[in-house]
Amino acid sequence: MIQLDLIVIVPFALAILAGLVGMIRPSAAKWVGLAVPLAQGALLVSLARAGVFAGRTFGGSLSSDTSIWRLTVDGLAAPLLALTVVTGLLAIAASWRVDNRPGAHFALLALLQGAVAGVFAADSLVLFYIAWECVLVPMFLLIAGWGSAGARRASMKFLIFTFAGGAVLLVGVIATVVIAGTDSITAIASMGGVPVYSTLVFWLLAIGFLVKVPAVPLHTWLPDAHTEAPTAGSIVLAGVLLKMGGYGLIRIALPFAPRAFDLAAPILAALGLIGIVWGAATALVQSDLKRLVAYSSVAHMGFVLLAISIATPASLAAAVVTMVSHGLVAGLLFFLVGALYGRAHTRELSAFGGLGSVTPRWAIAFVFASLASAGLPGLSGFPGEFVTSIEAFSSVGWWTLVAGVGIVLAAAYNLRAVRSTVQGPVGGFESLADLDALETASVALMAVAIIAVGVAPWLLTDGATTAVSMVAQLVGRGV
Amino acid sequence: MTPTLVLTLTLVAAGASAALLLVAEMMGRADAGRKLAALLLFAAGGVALTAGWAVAPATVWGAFATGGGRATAAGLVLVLSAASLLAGGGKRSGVVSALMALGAGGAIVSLSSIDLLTMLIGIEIAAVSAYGIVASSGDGRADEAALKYFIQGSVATGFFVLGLAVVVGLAAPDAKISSLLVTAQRLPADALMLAAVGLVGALAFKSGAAPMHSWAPDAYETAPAEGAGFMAGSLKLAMVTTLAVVVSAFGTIVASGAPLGDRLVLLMGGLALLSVIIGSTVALKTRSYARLLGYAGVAQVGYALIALAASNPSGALLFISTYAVATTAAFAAAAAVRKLSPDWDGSVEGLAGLGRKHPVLGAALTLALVSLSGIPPLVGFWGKFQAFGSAIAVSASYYATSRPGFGWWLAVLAAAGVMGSIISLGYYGAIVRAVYAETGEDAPVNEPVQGAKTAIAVSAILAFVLVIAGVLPIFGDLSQIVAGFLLNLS
Repeated sequence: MIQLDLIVIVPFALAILAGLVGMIRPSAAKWVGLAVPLAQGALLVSLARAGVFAGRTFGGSLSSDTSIWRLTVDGLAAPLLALTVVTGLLAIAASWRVDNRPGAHFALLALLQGAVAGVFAADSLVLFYIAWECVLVPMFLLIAGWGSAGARRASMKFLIFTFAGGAVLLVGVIATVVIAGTDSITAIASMGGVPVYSTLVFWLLAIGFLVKVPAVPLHTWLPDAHTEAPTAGSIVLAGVLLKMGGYGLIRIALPFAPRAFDLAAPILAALGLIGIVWGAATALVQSDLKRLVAYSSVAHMGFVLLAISIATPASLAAAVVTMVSHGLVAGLLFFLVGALYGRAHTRELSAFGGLGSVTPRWAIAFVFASLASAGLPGLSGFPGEFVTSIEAFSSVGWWTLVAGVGIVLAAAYNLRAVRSTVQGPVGGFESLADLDALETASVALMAVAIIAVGVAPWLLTDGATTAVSMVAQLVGRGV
Repeated sequence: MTPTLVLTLTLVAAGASAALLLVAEMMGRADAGRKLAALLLFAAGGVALTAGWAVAPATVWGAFATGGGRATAAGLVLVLSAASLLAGGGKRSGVVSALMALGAGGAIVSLSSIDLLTMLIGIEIAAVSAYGIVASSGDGRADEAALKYFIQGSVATGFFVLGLAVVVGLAAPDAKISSLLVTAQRLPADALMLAAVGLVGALAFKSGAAPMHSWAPDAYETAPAEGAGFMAGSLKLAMVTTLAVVVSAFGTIVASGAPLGDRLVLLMGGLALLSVIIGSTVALKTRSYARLLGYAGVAQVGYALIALAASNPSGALLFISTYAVATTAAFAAAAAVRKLSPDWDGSVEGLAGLGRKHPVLGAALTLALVSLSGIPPLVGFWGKFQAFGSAIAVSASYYATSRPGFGWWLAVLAAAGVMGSIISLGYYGAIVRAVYAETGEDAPVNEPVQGAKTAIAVSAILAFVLVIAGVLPIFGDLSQIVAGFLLNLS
């Protein structure tokens, strides 16, 4: 279907347009920026009408056998594409008032949207890698050019860490193509993965993905990059960039080397559990609100990793739900922290207090987002992590309790954040502007999405069932 | 289009441009002459580039061959030389331009040769013009760098002649590359290896591979920016192509059964490993822009040598072509900076604020550097994909044929290439960071002077080429694109 090709190509075309418009009329660039997620959303809706969320698979129209431009989308990729659209909208809203070189800013955001869509839609392994690396430079420039004080160091760290991960991935990609004799992700999966050297291939691919997830101890680029990035950058980073790692593991690493995965599963589970506890415990002691949210990402992505290591159909579906949920919730939290920082020019927890009476709309939104992050039933954080914990018992046994500790810690750091900002006596800021209409509308959109995923997670999992069951079957853990 | 026509056209264009530039300089119309010469070189280069895909490889005049990869390389040499010409200008530029045109001619002679003697003549024409370019600014440092370059270059020529003497003097009926096959059957392997070391060593020097690289950073730093761009881009492209021809000539001997191949893999791999390690680590600590690109160029030659060690000469040519375009753009940008702020001290820090004052120049330079570090979708990625991909593929096939030692060696080379690319982000990224750094004071945006506008346009157009050429293989057929880089021996 041509819509699938366009979902990747249109953002790149609009990126050029945004850059040109930005040179002529800087204030108009944001409208081009807004057109990117809107266009992607419209294209995704038309794909949805064709049944992509019901588990049907579609290929791109511009594909040919001799080129690497081969796209496919199924129930596993579709929820993540939807997440890309929603967080893309939020990122545009967060940067609506950017006046520092807006043309370049919105062009970079558009590039990110296109590249991420390319990752989720690629069927050629080489195209997947190209799209994967296309994310790198725009995000680097976004952090370096529009970030806060320490952005230069953080952007370099981000660039080198993720490029190093990407380079390992490239070796894995080339090795896979050489050994399997084809670069089609579907074909390699259906032939049961690579015939030889499966352990080597698995770890080359997995290390590339684990850096992006990020798994402790490969996570150290994340807190810096998140903290120093501009709000829109943080939203895209947490919202979709981390999901590329999880998606890569499910879509590529597992099916390509099922036997090696079987041996590696306990290691991945351990990495997941460590991430859950490490991320949550570190979040608990942060004094910077944005760093706190950044570390909570490590914890939530730890759940994703744990779910992937179990690799049953239910746990893989839970991984998808957790990824979408974390994208929505962390995106919203970064949006709110960014809004607060834009007004107060500090993110120190100790500087705030009593915002419930100063900025009631912000306070309500922040409490809502924190509860979602803590995994309150009815909101999006709950179903994925709940199912993961249940499934984990059959796989890692009583070690699941470690994840339980992480859940308790999640409640603790989220409530601590709420307590020191929203509640208590009014701190240093007695009058701050509350969320304006645009911000309130953006928050409302996210809240609707968070509640929808929380109440009806099957909206995502129904379509994904076919794809994840196949992966589970390939690694010998299907029903 | 016949092969003879293509070769005649490229050589005549280079020679005529050199003459034209000298005459124009004497008549005091250096600028007009430069534009005309650039147009001539560009037109001939365009024809040769087309011939890379359109003309089947064939022998010309007994001593040369063109079509396929040779025509593509010749075309790129001319087009990139035209770009460097346009980016230049200023005092003494007429002479430097003439030397560049002459050097381009020598480069084409050397890379089109199938006879080691004409190859040597081409190499020397190119080398002599390079010595002149380095010495052209006329101050003490330039003299020193040129002299160092000249002395080392003479030793390298000696190596080449030694190799030639072994081949011709001991066994072969003539100096034709194809006669190497005859040589191989008559000579003991050690003598053959001596010939290979002589020829390969000389060309490795000319390409700027470690451990014979020390001239390159000095030369790039002292030469005018456009001259450095010519040496680092066009000339390096030509020398690596020539090296690829020679190495694959010895590679054919392997196919015929002479026991040289394994040692050649070790030799090329060793040079590659040294180049990547030395180039990358020294570049990290270098603060002068041109020196940094010089050391980075050493590492880049290392990546090309990885492809040669993996017996993939067309991959090496494709890689070095992507490098040459990007590096010419980077030096054109330096030429523009020279004109915009004549008091630039040549350091990376001195570029601070460039991207804010001149967004087009900043963006072009950034794209060139991103391509050099091999990040997709810019074309530099495809070069590295070919180079490292062939190393991994050959490594796997060594394992499959139960030669794990060589499989391991190729895997190490691929890993070194990947590590080098990661490190390259450190030094190329440092330039990008400087370009977009806040300068503190708000420098007034001054209208670029006339010459700077041309140089900016040149680097912007080359950067655009990097993007288009990088996106093309996504939608096109990669094997058809690679077809234009195949090197034939006859």
